[in-house]
Amino acid sequence: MPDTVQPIRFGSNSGQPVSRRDGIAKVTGAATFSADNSPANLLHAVYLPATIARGRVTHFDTAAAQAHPGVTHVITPANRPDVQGDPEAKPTLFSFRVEILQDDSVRYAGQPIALVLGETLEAATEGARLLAPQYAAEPVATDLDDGAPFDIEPGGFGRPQGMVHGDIDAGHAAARQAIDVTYETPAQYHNAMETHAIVAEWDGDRLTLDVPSQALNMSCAAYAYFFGIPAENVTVRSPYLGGGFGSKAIPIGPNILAILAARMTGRPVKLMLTRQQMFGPTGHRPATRQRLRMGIDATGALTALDHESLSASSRFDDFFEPASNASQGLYAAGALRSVHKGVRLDIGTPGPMRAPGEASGAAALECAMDEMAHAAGMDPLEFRLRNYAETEPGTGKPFSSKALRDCYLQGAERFGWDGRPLDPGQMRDEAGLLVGWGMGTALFPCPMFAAEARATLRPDGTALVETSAADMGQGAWTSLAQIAADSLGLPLDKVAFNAGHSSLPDGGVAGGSGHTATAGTALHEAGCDVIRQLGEIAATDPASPLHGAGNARFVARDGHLFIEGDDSRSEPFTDILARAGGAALTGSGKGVRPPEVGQEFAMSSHGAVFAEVRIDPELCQMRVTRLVGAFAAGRIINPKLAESQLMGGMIWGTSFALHEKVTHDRTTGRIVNADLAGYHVPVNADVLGLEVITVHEDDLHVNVLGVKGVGEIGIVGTVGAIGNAIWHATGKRIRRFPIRIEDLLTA
Amino acid sequence: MSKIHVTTTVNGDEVEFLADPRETLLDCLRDKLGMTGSKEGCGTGDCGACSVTLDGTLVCSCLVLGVEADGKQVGTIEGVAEGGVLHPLQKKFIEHAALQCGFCTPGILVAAKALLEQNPNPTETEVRYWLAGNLCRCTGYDKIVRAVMDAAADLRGEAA
Amino acid sequence: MRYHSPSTFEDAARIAAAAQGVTRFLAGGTDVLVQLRSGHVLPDDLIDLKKIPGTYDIAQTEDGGWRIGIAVPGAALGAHAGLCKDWPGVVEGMELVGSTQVQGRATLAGNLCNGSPAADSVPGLVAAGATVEITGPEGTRSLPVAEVPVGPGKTALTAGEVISAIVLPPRGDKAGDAYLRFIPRTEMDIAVVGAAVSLRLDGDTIAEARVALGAVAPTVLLVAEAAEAIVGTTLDDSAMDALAAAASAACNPIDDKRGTAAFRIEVAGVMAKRAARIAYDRAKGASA
Repeated sequence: MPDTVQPIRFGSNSGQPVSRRDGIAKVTGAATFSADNSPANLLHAVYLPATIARGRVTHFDTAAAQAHPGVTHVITPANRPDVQGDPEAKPTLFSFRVEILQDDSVRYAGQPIALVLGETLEAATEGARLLAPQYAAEPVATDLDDGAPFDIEPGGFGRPQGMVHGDIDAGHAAARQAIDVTYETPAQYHNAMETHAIVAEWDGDRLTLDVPSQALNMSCAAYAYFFGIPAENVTVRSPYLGGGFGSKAIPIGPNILAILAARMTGRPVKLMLTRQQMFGPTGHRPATRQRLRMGIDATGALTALDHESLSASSRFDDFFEPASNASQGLYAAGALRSVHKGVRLDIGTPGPMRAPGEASGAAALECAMDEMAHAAGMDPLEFRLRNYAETEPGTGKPFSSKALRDCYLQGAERFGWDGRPLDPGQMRDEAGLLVGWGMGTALFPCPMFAAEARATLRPDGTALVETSAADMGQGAWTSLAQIAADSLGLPLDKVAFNAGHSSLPDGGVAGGSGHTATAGTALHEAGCDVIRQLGEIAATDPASPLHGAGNARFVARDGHLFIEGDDSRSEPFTDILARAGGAALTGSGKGVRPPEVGQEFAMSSHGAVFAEVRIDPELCQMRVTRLVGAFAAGRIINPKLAESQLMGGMIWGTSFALHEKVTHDRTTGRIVNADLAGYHVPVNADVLGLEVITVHEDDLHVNVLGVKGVGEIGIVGTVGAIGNAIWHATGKRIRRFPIRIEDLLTA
Repeated sequence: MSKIHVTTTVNGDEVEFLADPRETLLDCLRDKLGMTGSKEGCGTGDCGACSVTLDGTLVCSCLVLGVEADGKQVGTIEGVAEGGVLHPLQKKFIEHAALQCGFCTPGILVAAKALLEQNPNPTETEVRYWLAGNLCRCTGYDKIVRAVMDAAADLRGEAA
Repeated sequence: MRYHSPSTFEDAARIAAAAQGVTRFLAGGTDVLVQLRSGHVLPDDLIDLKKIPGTYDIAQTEDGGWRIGIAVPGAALGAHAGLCKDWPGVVEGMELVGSTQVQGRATLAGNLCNGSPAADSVPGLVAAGATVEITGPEGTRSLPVAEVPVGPGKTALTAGEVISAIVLPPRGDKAGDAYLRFIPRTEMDIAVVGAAVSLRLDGDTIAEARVALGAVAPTVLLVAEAAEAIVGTTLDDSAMDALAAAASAACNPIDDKRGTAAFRIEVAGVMAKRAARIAYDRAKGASA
């Protein structure tokens, strides 16, 4: 059998800055998001969110709601039809316990406590208001200080594993200089521009859902579990997601309620969360408090890096922010410890939000590194280079690739880091504003989840490639098609790409920055499978110029099969297929990482972010005026779209550093800023001078494509860089994010 | 709830619908006229995803009642490309990768078009402030500004 | 909900006076619709004022002042050259309300009737000495803008009364006004402190002044002591310090999620100084 391993080539389809293939649909308004679907005979569902954070609902004015014109059904725990699955169960890898009116208890503010169906959205909304719930409220705890910290027992998703390498006490004892600092990060909510929405329709025991999903097939399995049907009876259509950021990877309670309502009424049901409800049963990044103790020897080498993180989860489920993970693989400290602690509060269950762990953890770590560098009298970049990890700290494993040093140097050069005064408060601009420069290191792991794909080469020389991949904006429709086209040796315009539908081969999870790597590997393998079959046909067909090629390697390029290194012998795909009877060839592929690769290598993307801030000395108004990020993330499939992802991440970092935070009313437990007027994210006017450098990195181990992933790393390092720049401008070290003006004024 | 008969012009075409007075123009466009390009991102006028023009003025259609559109001219994303030909802004958004998830994109394009109609030669700062009411959570702000500036140059007949 | 679109203010007032349940007037709708959508306030009667003739007009009064219709949105104020020349501070206050989209709808009257202590357009109107014309079941009356808000979310308007016009006095010579606000974000935010200054010069010396502060007390404040601190001066450093001290002293703010009381007090003084400087320069002939 011919060996048809595909060489990885830059400069064919992959590596090209191709414009989005879904661009026209999106700029004309033709792209249909889930709430854009309105099947005939539709009912609108609105859920009523609890306005207390702990206690019970004692009364609803069900009659008033039911009597409102246009209201068709009022569902409360008293009359909710049964579901087949247990709301407390976790049917899939990424699941949380759901609140689906299983009882009258309230466990956090914003929890759904009733569902109203109506012929119009307005009727259902008014019906929900008329329910006028009464409560028996109990005292609430919503602040990290309100709970009793405990050690988290590691146990997979949501329950992170700490680690110790070396003798941490000895490391502390050996320090010539040391710091012991505590940083706080706030609770943040994903707030994708598209709120969660679902249109559910039953046909017998088959269920069709228009719902944005970062993991289509996994969510089918979860929905199937709750309704006692086989997973293949559930169809999820999710061609476009209006952003996900982690929140759309996990089926939420309101979706299950909408499906239940559709089954109960026999009509299609649409439920779309309001923006205010996006601060409820949707997951969030929990607040953390992180203590960092570091020590250095006389040369500036870290003798100890000791990172303890405290984070909050709900009272009824586990998702603890793995913040101290950020310290597990970054610096070559003599001794390392990463500890995770938790408290339980009257809040909704948190969940993964863009760069879970690393975003919060690196915010604290990178500021602490800056503090340590200052204590040592060292330049922050020099200090990081002094502690550069050539192998994975603790384990000594080699990195599959690590161009972090290049990121530091290229980023610093572009930013103009040279000549930065060591001491703070030294720089002013022509308008008299304080100027400060800061930096932070970024890292993010590159996991692969399992994915499958199918490729079909048609007799006309075009191909169809299929996987249920999710495009939440990152560009899966485009970059995955580029990978597929390369694996088939076809130009991009000859390849039709189907995704976003659960009937396709399982595209895995669009999360963990691993979607391109995972679904891309599956597509690559599927394409290679087709070419392998094609090569077999040609090699055994006496009429083919490739006949008798035996064990030669075939190369597929521009719709032709070649013998590697011998361009004189080739044949068009169409000719090979025509002689073989004109049937299409179908191949399949899987995207998984062999476990031994993970045992042998440490794998991460890396980066370095440099920030400049300008601050009004009288009012302490802060502006980030420049951000330069240099990232090494393996092979970049589409530089244009990857740059967008990295820039977006850096602006998320700006948002983390200066804007985002929910505030709970400590009496009622309600979030007081649960809308986009009160929950600040950056606006166009907040963003200036943004630059992204992608540092070349060939990685032969991480996967066959050499792809690591760019979805999340942009935020990591940026938060610390901005915090450090603010210190450098003012001399004031603010250890609570977001950094507020009044903190600077009163510091 | 008695419904009110509304006659309005959307992207140059006269349309009629019956509106519950509580219904927003956004919901009327989406649910009664099937024009789902305008999106609801917040319902409070904070995100701009529902941006349309009303008698030429840029507004959030979530903050306009359907009944208020009676006798007025409404412009939506569906009317930005004419006869299947993309507007220069639409082309430049694709070219510059000024969109990611695309949910905020229709509103941003309607807003940017309204800007260029009244100010064909805006500064970068003017663009940033004009579009400050259009949130993008994928945060493509930098590329959005570049695309608008480039489209403006294109419309003025200048090479970018 | 009943939707009304009367053609006179008298009719509007009559409908409102006769209404039994919750009544809201609709001008720009940027507050009313938010309340309606969120389910916080679902009016039984919604009275749309925009079909009343003249509500979109900006007209010069006989004495040289300005009469502004209640449906005139912020964007139209900013596009009116005459008004911008006379009262740039009033216009810039309104133009800070919300986004471009909100500017296409939001009105001075709505911003005032919302009763928010942080309403950006109100300090400028108060400093300007603006009045409102109110139409009610008993006829028409006039009230200084400063007396319209009586507490957060509360106004001096009685049942059935509706603001039918905003009236600005004649500007006169050698005068200028300015409004500045402080927000944490670059744009799209609510004032943590707002300061408006209107003044008139006699030569280089300030002959008259009015200073108004927003978001530092339950209602917008007209701070006589702050005005006194600069009247009779050329806005020298000591006058500026006295202005800042008087402005800060007048504050009675709350701690909330947007800013602490101490921070607001500090910032109020700085903002008053900066607004006074701009108003002074404008009175000297600098263009707005």
